[in-house]
Amino acid sequence: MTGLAVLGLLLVGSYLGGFLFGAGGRKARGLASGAGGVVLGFVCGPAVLALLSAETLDLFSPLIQVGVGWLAMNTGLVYGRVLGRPVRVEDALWGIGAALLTLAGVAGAVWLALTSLPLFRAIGLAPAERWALALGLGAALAETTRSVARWARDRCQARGPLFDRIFNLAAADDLVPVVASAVAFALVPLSTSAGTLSVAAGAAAQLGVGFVLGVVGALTLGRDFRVNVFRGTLLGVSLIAIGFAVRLRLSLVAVPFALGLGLVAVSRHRARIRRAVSAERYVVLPILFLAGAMTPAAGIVPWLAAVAVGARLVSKLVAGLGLWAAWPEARPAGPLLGAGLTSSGTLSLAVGLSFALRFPGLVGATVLTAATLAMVLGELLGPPSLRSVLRRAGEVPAATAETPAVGTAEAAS
Amino acid sequence: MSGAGPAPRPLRDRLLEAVLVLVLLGLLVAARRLFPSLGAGAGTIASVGILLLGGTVVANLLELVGLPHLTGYLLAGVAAGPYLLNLVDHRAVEELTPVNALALSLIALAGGAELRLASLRTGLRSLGWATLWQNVLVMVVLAGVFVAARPLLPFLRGVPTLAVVGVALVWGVMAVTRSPSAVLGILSQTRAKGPLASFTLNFVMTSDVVVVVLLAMALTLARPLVLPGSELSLSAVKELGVEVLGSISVGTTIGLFLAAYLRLVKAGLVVMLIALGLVFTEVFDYLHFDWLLIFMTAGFVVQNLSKQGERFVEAIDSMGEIVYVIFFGVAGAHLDLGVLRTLWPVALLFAGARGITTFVAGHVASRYAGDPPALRRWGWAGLVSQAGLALGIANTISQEFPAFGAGLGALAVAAVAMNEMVGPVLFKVALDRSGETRGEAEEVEPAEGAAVFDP
Repeated sequence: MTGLAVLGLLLVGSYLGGFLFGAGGRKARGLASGAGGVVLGFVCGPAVLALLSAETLDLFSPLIQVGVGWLAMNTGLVYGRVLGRPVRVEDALWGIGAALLTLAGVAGAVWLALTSLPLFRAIGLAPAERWALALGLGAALAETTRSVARWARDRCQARGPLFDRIFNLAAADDLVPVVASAVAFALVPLSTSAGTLSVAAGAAAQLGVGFVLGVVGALTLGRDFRVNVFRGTLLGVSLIAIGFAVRLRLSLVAVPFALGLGLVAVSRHRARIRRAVSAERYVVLPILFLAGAMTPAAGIVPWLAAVAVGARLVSKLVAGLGLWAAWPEARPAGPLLGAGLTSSGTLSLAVGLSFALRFPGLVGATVLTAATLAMVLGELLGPPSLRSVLRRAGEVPAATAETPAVGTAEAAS
Repeated sequence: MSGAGPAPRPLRDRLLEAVLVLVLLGLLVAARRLFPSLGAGAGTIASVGILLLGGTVVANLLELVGLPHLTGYLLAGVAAGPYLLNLVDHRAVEELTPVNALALSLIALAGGAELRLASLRTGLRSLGWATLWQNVLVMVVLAGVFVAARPLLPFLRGVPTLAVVGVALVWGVMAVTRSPSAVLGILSQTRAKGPLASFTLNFVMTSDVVVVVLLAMALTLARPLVLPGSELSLSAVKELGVEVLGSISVGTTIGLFLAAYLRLVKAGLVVMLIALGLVFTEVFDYLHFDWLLIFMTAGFVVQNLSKQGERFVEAIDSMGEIVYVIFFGVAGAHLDLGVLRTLWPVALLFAGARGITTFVAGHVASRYAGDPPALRRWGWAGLVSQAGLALGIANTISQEFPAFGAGLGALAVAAVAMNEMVGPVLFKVALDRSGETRGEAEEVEPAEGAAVFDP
C-alpha cells in the first residue's frame, strides 16, 4: 500500500477521531480536545505501540508540510484580530513582550543546561546546532494559544476587561514564534545567485517572500468575488509558498504566516478569506495525530524537552507577575495570572513539526517533543488556571469544567 | 458566454489579470534564477500550486474569447510543464499521478451522480442509436484510416498486413473513447441544462462500459493477428465479465455505504470522499477492477437508489473546480510537445478523420432517433474530447504489442492531445449556440456564514 493510501486511512481515522475529540463528541461524551489527538498519536507511534513505524511516518512528510504551512497561513490571516475586531496596540505589545520573555527564558535555560549540566554537555552539539535548538525551543514554547481564551468565553461565559486583554494578548503573541522560527532557519545560510544571505537577511527574506506572494494572491483575487478564483488562488498561492519553503529549506511557519498577512493586508475579500480558515479543521486532526506519533520517548530528548517546558512555566509565571503589576484590571486576579497563560496550541505544534522536518535528529526531535509536552501539560494546567484567574477578577459568573477545542477555526494560535 | 450570470467583469480587471499572469511568471522564473537550490522544477507541492493558480488565472483570461475554463487549465499545464517553462518538471508530473487518479475518481463519482434514471429513460432512444453509430462507425473508419495511413507510420514498416489490421482494430477502439471529465468540467462551468447536456452526459458516462467491452473483444481478435503463434482465446471475455460485473458490484456496495453515511452522519463528506478515493483507487488497481466504473456506479447508486442524491452532488460540486484544475493542469503538463511537433501531420489526419466521422455518425444517429433540432445539430460536439481513458488504451496497446513500442504510443499521445484541446471548445460552443448555457457556476456567492471550502 502506498503512502497515499495510508494517508487516506489516516484521514478516515482522524475524521472518525474527530467525533471523539471534536466539538460534537466533547459535548456528548466529555472527552478532552486536541491534546487527545496528540496522545493518541503518541500511543500509536513508534514510541509506544509501534502501530506506525518511523518509515511509515516518513511517508507523511508532504502532508505534514502542507498541514503545517496551512495552519501557519491561517495564523497570519487572523493575526492581530479577535472576534472580528483588531486587538488593541497596547495589549498586542504586552503579548509580544510576554512571548519574548518566555522565548528568552526557555532559550536561556536550555543554553545553560547544554553548557553547564554534564548530562546535556555530553551531547556535544556544535554552536550552530545549539543556537538552533535554543531558538527552536523558545519559538515553540513562546505563545499562549488563543483557543484557551475562546474556551473561557464559550464555556465559562467569561466577559470583562481582563478577559479582553488576555484574549488580545493571546492573539498578538504569535509574531514571536514566527520571527524566531525564521531566524532559527536562517542560521543555516541561504545561498542565492547573488551570494549567501546573512542571518538577518535570510530571516527577512523568508517573511518578504511570503508577503509578496500574499500580495500577488490578493491582487489575483481581484475586485469581484468569484468562488472558483477564490479557491484556486488561495490554495494555489499557499501551496506555492509551502512548496518553495520546503524546496529552499525555509521556515514552514514564517513563509506561510507572512503570506497570510500579505493576503489580508491587500485583498478587499479579507473577511471571506478569514472565513475560509474553518477548513483548517480537516488539517488539524491529522497534524495533531502525526505530531504525537513522531514524538520520541527515549534517550536524552525527553529530559531536554522537560527542561524547556519547565522554563516555559516559570517564564509564563514571571510574565503573569508583570501583567499583574502593570494592568489595573489584573489586580483582583492575583499574582498567579501567568498560570492561565500556559496553554499552547497548534502554532506550537507547527513550529515543532517544522523543526522536526528541517533538523532531523536531536534538535528537531527535542523541539517537537517540547511542543507536544507543552500542549498536553498546558491543556491540563491552563484552562482551570485561567478560569480561576478570571473568577477571582469577577469575570466568570459560574463554574464550568471543560477543556479547550484546539481543532477548531481560529485555533491556530 | 451567455445566460443569466452576473454582468461581465470590466476590461480593466481582465487586463490586470493578464498583467498578473506575467508578474507571477516573472516571479517564478526569477525565483528559480535567484535560488539555485530550487533546481529545475519547483517540487511537487509547489507544482500543484502553480497549476492551480496558473490554471485559475489563465482560465479567467480565456473567458474573454469565450473559451472554456478547461482549455485554460490545459494551457497553464502545458506552459508550466516540462516541455516549456519546466516549473513543473517530469518528476513532479510523475509524482502527481496518484493525485490525478484521485481527481479522476471524484470526477467519476460526480458523473455517476449526474446520471438520472428518468433522464436515461427519456433519452434511451437517442442514446441507443448514438451508441450504435458512434461506436461502430468511428471504430471502423478510424481502423481503416490507420491501415490506409500505413506508409506514413514508420513503426509499421515491414509489419505484415494482418498484424496491421489487428493493431488497427485496437486503435479503432481507442478512437471511440470519450472524455467524461471534459464533459463534466464544461457542464460544471456552464451549468447547462437541456437535451444536449443530458444526452452528452448520458452518452459519455455509459460509453465507459461500452469501451471496456469493445477493448476486450478487439484484443481477443487482434492477438492472433499480431502475435505469431497466438491462438484465439476467450480468456479476455472471461476477465471482462469478472471486471465489469465485479466493478459494478463493488460500486453498488460503495454507493450504498455513501448513501447510508449521508443519511446517518451528514457531515464531512468531502474528507470521506477524498479518503475513499485515495484508498480505493489503490486497492482496486491491485484487484484489477475498473475503478472508474466502480466510482461511476457508486455515484449512480447514491443518486438513483437513495434520497441523498442532491446533497451528494452538492458536496462533490463544492470541490469541482479544484478537481478539474488539477486534473487538466496535470494533463497539460503531460502533453509531450516534442512528440506533437514531430507527429502533428499524422496526428492531425487521425484527429480530423475522427472529428468528421463523429460528426457524420451524430447526424445519422439523430435522424434514426428523431432527435430534437439542438441535438441533431450539435449532438456530436461533446463527443470529440478525449483524455486519460484513450491514453490508458494506448498504454495497453504498447504493453500488449511491444513490437510497435514507443512509436504507436507517441502517435496516440499526439492525436489525443489534439482532441483534448479542441473537444472542450467545441462542446462549449455547442452548448452556447443551443442556448443551454445558464451562466457561470462560479459566480454564485456562497451563503453567508458558509465556509468557502466547506460544503
